[in-house]
Amino acid sequence: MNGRAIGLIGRGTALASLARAVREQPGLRLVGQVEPGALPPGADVVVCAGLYGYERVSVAAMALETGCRLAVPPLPATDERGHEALASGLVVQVSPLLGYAPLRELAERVHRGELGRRYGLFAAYHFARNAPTPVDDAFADLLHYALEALESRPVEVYARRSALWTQEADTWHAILRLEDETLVTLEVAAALPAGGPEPERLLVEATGSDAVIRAEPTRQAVVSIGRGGMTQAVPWMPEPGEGYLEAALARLERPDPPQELRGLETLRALWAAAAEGRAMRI
Amino acid sequence: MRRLRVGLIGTGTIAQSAHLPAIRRLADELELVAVADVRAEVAADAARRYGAEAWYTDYRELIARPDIDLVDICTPEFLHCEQAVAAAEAGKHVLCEKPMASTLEEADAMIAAARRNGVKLMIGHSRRFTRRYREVARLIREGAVGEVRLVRENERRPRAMYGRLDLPVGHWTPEGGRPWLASSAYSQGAALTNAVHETDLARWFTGQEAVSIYAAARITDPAGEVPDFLTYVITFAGGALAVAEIVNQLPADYPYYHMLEVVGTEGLIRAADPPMSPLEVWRPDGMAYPLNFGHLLHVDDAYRDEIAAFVRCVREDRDPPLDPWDARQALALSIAAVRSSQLGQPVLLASLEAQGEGA
Ligand SMILES: NC(=O)c1ccc[n+]([C@@H]2O[C@H](COP(=O)([O-])OP(=O)(O)OC[C@H]3O[C@@H](n4cnc5c(N)ncnc54)[C@H](O)[C@@H]3O)[C@@H](O)[C@H]2O)c1
Repeated sequence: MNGRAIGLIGRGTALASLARAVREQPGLRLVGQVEPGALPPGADVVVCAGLYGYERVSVAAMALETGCRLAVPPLPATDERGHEALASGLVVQVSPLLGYAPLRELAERVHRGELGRRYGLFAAYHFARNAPTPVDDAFADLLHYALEALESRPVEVYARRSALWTQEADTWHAILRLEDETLVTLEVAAALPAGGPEPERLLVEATGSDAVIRAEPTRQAVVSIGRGGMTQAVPWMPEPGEGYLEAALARLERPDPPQELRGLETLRALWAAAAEGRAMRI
Repeated sequence: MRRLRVGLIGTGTIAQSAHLPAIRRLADELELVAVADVRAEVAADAARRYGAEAWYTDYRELIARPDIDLVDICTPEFLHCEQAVAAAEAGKHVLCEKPMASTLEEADAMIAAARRNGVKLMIGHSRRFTRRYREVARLIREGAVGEVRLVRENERRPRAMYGRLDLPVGHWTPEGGRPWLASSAYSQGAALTNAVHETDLARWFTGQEAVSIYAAARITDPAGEVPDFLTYVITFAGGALAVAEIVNQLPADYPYYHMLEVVGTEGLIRAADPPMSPLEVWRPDGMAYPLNFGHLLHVDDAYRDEIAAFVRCVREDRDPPLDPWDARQALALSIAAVRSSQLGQPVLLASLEAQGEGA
């Protein structure tokens, strides 16, 4: 059988969606999907989805050891092995948020210069208080998305990592000044009530002299107003696999280690800012 | 019941878009006696439109009138202290636009003058009188979301926002140059111009005093001299956070809107404008919101309610519903935001007080 051999690592709905996307795309062949801890054999490239931060680092390290080309969701800043893997050019990072078509569209429009003079980018990523998503991983995902959309280097960053309604960290707030003066404001919060009508809520708004580009990829709902008052259900989430796969393959095609390392360095500076309570220059 | 007699200083944008119409709506309780503005033609026109018997170019003449009970100050903030103190010394009650002043020393002088002269002083933080925010405050008070831990309000304004209102007057342009709001000689920019609303809401909704603020600002208007874009994170004494991103120079026709989220230990509250845009027009070249200003924040009612509340407290000799101290603390946060954005580091509110750095 011919076609490019794709292996997958991961779990859950993100992996299932990715597997579907590989199967449906002409020219690709799914050669195996495994849980983190092993590499699928016989793959030209491996794409990961649905991994916790620590797992992202260990698969990246494994790829480095075996010379495997791997696309992985953004690595956490806290582990040295990630740095090496990214420097090698074998491992590239892809934000799972690129699975959302409106966010890809927003990034493309920003790249095309539709904003005119750029002002800022605001992004809020909220999910349920009892969601399995660690807030640190979600923050890495959002940061990576924002930097990719804006394609400019952060020069000054400030962050707060807080436990606002639980015992553990449940929110990140970050402000980044980019080289081109764009100001980026990011909020990640496990804020939505458990069992509420929305499992996830995302808002990204890029502002500029000529346009405001606003994406709310999860805002689709069935609202019913009846005897029981108003109820709102969000019974489905958009299928993320296709867009994520496309972004991963494009990145693997043209790895850019300096860019990957800049993302990691920015994340590190944000952790340092959060720990020390002051802004960091990069 | 005798109507209270009011004199209004500064017949510019906020006066003509909100205060003067609100005073007219309160005609049963209030009589507009005189107005003052350094722009003679603007003062004369406002007096004619709103039925004031006199107009002045020197506000001191207005204050000197013995028949005025209360003064409504709608001038730029660098004038608030001088004019409020003068009015208080003349025994007039003072309603003054936000931000309270341009420094903390001035704000303190205003509070002291009101106390010394036994007159009421209230700062017009209009959002405290806006139905939406009052409803949010009520829900919080009733415990709907538990303890408030995060308050975020983003504010978006199109360029030349007030141009849409078709007012007979534009912003004051001292020396015929740029509008005072965009000039570093008169304004400190978005932190005081708009973010003082957000700093006030954050204190109101968390019920806490702030410890520190980190802010980043920039000038996006090529003709501007002061920041018109601001983003910040405030940390409160109890650990709660408040966040805001304020953008003032968006394309014309972009809706003027606010997006509030309050997250508590038990739930969250959202109050945002875009889904409530009362009129949207879709055309091949895009979307327009021809009616998005004024309606969404119930601006007219807010100012009517604000002025009516002040009138009531004067009549009944009660404390104003918004203590000047609250306005002073919101100003402290806004000044700290300016400082922080200049330093590139968080600023402790305590250090601002210790250094007496209101200037
Ligand atoms: N509550 C709100 O939401 C809100 C909204 C807009 C403005 N404001 C506040 O209202 C104040 C005025 O803002 P604006 O937008 O109306 O400005 P503006 O320039 O449109 O109006 C100010 C007026 O003051 C007059 N003036 C200047 N110097 C004077 C003096 N020495 N004596 C008498 N009059 C003088 C000017 O000629 C002008 O007509 C500011 O403090 C602003 O922050 C509040």
